[in-house]
Amino acid sequence: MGTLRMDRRLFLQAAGVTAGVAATTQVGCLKYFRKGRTVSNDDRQVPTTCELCPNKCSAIAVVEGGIVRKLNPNPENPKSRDMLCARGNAAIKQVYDPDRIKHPLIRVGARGEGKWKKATWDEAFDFAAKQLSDIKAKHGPEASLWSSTEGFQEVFFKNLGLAFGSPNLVRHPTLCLASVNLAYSATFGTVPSFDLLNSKYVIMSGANRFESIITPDTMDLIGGVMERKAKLVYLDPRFTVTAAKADEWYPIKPGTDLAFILAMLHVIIKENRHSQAFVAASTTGFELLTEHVKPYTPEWAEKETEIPAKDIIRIAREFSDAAPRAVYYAGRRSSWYQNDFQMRRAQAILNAIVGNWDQQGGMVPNAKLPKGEFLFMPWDEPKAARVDEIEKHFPLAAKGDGVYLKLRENVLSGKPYPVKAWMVYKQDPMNAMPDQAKTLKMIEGMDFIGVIDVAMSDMAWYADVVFPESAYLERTDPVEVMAGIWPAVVYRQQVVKPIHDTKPNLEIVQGLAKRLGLSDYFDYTIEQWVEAEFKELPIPMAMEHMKKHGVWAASGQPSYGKTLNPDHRFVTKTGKIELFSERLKEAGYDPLPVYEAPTQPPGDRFRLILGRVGYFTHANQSNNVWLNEFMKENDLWINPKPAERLGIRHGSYVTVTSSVGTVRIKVRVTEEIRPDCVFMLHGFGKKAKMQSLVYNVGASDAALLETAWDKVSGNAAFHETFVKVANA
Amino acid sequence: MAMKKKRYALVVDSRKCINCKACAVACKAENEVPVGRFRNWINEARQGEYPKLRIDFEPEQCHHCEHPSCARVCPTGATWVRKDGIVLVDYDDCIGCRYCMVACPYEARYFHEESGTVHKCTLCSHRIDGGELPACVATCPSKVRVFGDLEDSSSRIHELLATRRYRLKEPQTGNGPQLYYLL
Amino acid sequence: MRNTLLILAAAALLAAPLAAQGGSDTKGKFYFKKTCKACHAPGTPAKEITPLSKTQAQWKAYFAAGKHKKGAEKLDSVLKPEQVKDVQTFLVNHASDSPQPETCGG
Repeated sequence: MGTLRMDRRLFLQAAGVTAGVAATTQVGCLKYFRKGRTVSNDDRQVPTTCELCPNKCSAIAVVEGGIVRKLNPNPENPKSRDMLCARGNAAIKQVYDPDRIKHPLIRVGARGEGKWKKATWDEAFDFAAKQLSDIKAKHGPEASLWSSTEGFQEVFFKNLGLAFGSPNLVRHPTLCLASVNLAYSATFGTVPSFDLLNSKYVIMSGANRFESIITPDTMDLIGGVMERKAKLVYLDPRFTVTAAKADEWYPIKPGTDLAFILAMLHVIIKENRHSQAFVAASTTGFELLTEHVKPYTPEWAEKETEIPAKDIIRIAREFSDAAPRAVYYAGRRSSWYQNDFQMRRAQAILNAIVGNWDQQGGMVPNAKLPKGEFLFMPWDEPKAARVDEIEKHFPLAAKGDGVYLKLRENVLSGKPYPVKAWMVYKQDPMNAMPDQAKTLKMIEGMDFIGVIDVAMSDMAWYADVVFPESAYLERTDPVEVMAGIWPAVVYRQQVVKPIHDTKPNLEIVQGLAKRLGLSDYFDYTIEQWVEAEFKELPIPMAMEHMKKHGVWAASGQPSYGKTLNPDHRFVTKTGKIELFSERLKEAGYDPLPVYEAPTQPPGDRFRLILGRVGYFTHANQSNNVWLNEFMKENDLWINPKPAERLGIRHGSYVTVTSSVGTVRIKVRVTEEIRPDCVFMLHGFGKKAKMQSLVYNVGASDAALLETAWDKVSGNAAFHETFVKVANA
Repeated sequence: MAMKKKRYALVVDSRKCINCKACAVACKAENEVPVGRFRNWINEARQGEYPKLRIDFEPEQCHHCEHPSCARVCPTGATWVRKDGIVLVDYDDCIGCRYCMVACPYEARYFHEESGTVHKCTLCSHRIDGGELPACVATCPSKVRVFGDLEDSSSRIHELLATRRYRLKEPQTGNGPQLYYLL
Repeated sequence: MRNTLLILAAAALLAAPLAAQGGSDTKGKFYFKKTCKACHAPGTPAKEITPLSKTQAQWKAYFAAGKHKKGAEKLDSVLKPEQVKDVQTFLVNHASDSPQPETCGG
C-alpha cells in the first residue's frame, strides 16, 4: 500500500509549492522541507578553509537562515581530495557550542578555580596591558613568553611578542614533528612530501595514518593499499586500524625502529640494491655509510626489534625492488624517543639510497607558489637571547619555534633569567606538554597569564584573562599557500558574523598593541593584509577567484625530477644530499645514525604509549558534542596476559602511576597491544569545567608523562615513561 | 516527458572503511539528527589473539529495501517507497507507533522525540533531487560508498556489481535489501 | 666548481670581520622589499633579486664590497647605512644555502 503512494517530492515540485505552504505543516515536516524553503533570506554557500586540524581542507559552508547548517567538501582543492572528515563536519558545533567563551573573562578566584568576572574588551585589554607593561618595566621584555600553535592568524600573535621585544616565542613543533623536519632538512636541505598516490611499497613506523588523523596521505594510501595493490608494511606495538589494513604488521619492540632501518640499510648496501647512479650523482658520504652499517646485521636487529631477520631481509629486498616507487614514510607527531631524530635520519638515508628522491611514487620536494606580503612597520630585534638557550643546546633546531620542554625547565629554574608573563594563542600547554604537574608549577610562577582561544582549554582555565577568539567560520584570515606535490592557495573567509562577543585574533592583538604603545606595527586591517597577499598570487583576478572558490590549485600533472639535474644545489653544507651530515658533525652530533638500545621497563611496569583517533586528534576536540558521541571516555589498553597476572578486569577502573603523577582510568583488556606496553588516547581528563563533556572524565596523558626530549631536535619524547597499573 | 525508471542504491566497499566517522557526522549535520541517534553507523568486528589479529569495519544505514517490512507494517502508510526506490517516512502521517522500528531487520530507524515520529536514512533524497550526492557519500575520505542508479547501465555502481562479488545482509527476510557490500 | 667554492669560502672568511653583524632580520626584509624590490622585481628594468639569488658567502662578499649597479655606485647611495646592515642580515639569513629548519605553519 505504502509503495503505491504518489511520489511526494515530484508532486510538490510539479505543483510549485511555496515556502508558505510548507510552513503550515508540523515541525518535523518543516525541518524536512526546510532546505531552500525557509522564511529567512540569509541563505548562502560560502567557500572557506577548515581550521580543525593543520591540513587546511577546503569546505563549502551552507548557510540557511543565517546559521551554518552544513559543511560540504570542496572538490576544487586537490589537497583535500574532495572530502571532509568527522572533525571537519563537526566544526559547526565549534560555533554553536554552549561551552564557548562568549565574552572576555577576568579571573576573580584562585587560578584554576573557575571564578570569572565578565569583562568588556576595554577592561580585558587594559588589565592585560597593565600587567605586561609592569613586567616589562621590572624584568625586561624577555620576561614574557608567547606560546602559539599553527594557524592562519598566528602570525599576528607572534608579531606582537616580537614587537613587544621578547625573543621567547615558543611553538608546537617540538611537541609534534620537529625531529622529522630536522632530520629531513639535515639530509636533503628540505622536508619533502611523500607521493603516496603513486607509491608501490610503503613502510611506516607507528605513523598511524588510517586512524589518528585524516589527511590526503590517508586517502591516497587507502586507495593504494586497497585498489592499486601497493604494499604496506607497518611497525607498531599496537594493532591499530593502520595495522589492520596493512599487508604486514610487526608488533615491534618499542623504541627499536632505528635497528630495523639500519638493518635494512645493511642488507640493501651489502647486496648492492641501492640506486648506484643516484647515490653517485646526488649524495655524499656513501662510503662512510657503508662502513657504518656493517655491524647492523639483520640477525642483530632481530634481537633488538623482535622482527625475524628473514623478514627484515625480505622487506629490504622488496623495498629496493619497488624503488623508486617505495617510501619509508615519515609521519606526523614524531616525538617518541630520545633518539627520535636519528631514527628519522636513518629513514631519510634509506629513502635516499634507493633513489626515490623527486620520483613519481617516491619523495618529492614541495612545489611552492609566490604570495604577496603586507609590508608592516618593522621593529627592533629582541635584544636578549632565548630563555631556552636553543643556540647552545639545540644549535640545529628551528629558532623561531623554540624547544618547549627545555624552555619549561629554564623558566622553572629562573635561569638564565626570570619569565613572569605567559601569553598563549590557540594552544593548550596543559595537555600538549608532558608532566602536567610541572606545567602547573610553571603557571604558579607567572605574574600574569593571558590566553586567546575559541574554547576554554585547560590552559585558559588557569589564565588571569581570557580573550575569546571568533571561530574560523566567523573570521576572515590571511591567505595560505600550501606547498606540496600539488601546490595550492587556500582562503578562509567569514561565513557568519560572530554570534558572541568575540574577536578575530588580529583585533585582539591590535587591542593589546594599542595599550602597549605598539600600534604603529599593527596599523592595518585584515582586508589590507589579504589584499597585499592576493597581489602576487599567480592567479588571474586573484581576489575575485579566491572569494568565489576559496581555493586555487595549479592544474595539470605534478612535475617530477626538477632537482635531479647535476647542477642542482641542495640546501646542505655540501650542496648534495648528505648521507653523512656535515652540519651534524660540526654541531657535535653523530653524523650517521648510531643505535642506542632503549631502556626497557622493569618487570612490574609498562611502557606508556600514546595515540590519537581521527575524530579528535588534538586535545581541543573531545568536547565537541558531535565527536564526543563516538568516545565519551578514554581508556587504558592492556594485554590480557598482564591483566590476568594483575587481576585486572575489562571495564574496571585502575590507577596508573608514573614518577610524576597518578591517574584513574577505565581498562580495556585487549589482544591488540604488546604485553609490555599500555596505551591511552590523548584529550581527556580535562580540568576546565567549561569543557563539560570531558571535564574530569577519563584521564590526561600529560599527567603521567615524564620530561624527556630528543637530543638533537629537542622534540618531546612521549614514549619514554614507564607506569605501574593497579586496580583502583 | 517520459521518465526513465530509476533505482537508487549504494555500493559499499567496506575494506576501504577506516572507521573515521565522517559519514556519521555529515549525516548528523545534513539531516539534523539528534545527539545520541544515528541514521548511519559503522559496525566493528575485532577478532584474533595477539599477534594474529583482525579488525573489520562495515558502514551501515537503511538498506532501502525493495519490499521493505517497515512499510508493510506501517498502519498509516507513512512509510513508503519512492519511484526511484528510496524508502521514506512521511512525517505528516507517522503516528509514532514504532512498528516499523521492530520490523526493520537492520535497526536502521530511531524515534525522534521532538516530532514524535520515526526517522531514518532518506539517502539524502533532498540532495539527490538537487543533483548532489548523499552527505555520507560526498564527505567520505576513503570513498567507501558509491551512490548511483542501478537501472543506468553506464553507472559506476552498475559496473561494480557486474564485475565484483558482493553480499547483502539478511536477504532471507525477503525485504530485498539494496545496500551492496563488495567482497 | 670545487675551486670556486673554496675561493668563495675564503672570501667569506675575509669578509666576515668587515661585514656588519647583528642587524634586524625583520627590518632587513622591510627595507629589502621597500627599497630593493622597487627596481629588482619581475617586470622592472633591473634584474629580479631575491635572497635566494646568492649564497651566504656571496651575499657577504657583496656587502663587503658595498657596491651597487655593478659597481657603478655605492650601496650607501640607495640604502641608509643602518639599513644596509639590516638588509644584509635578512639576505644572509635567507640565502640559497642558509639552513632554514622547516617548521609547521608559522
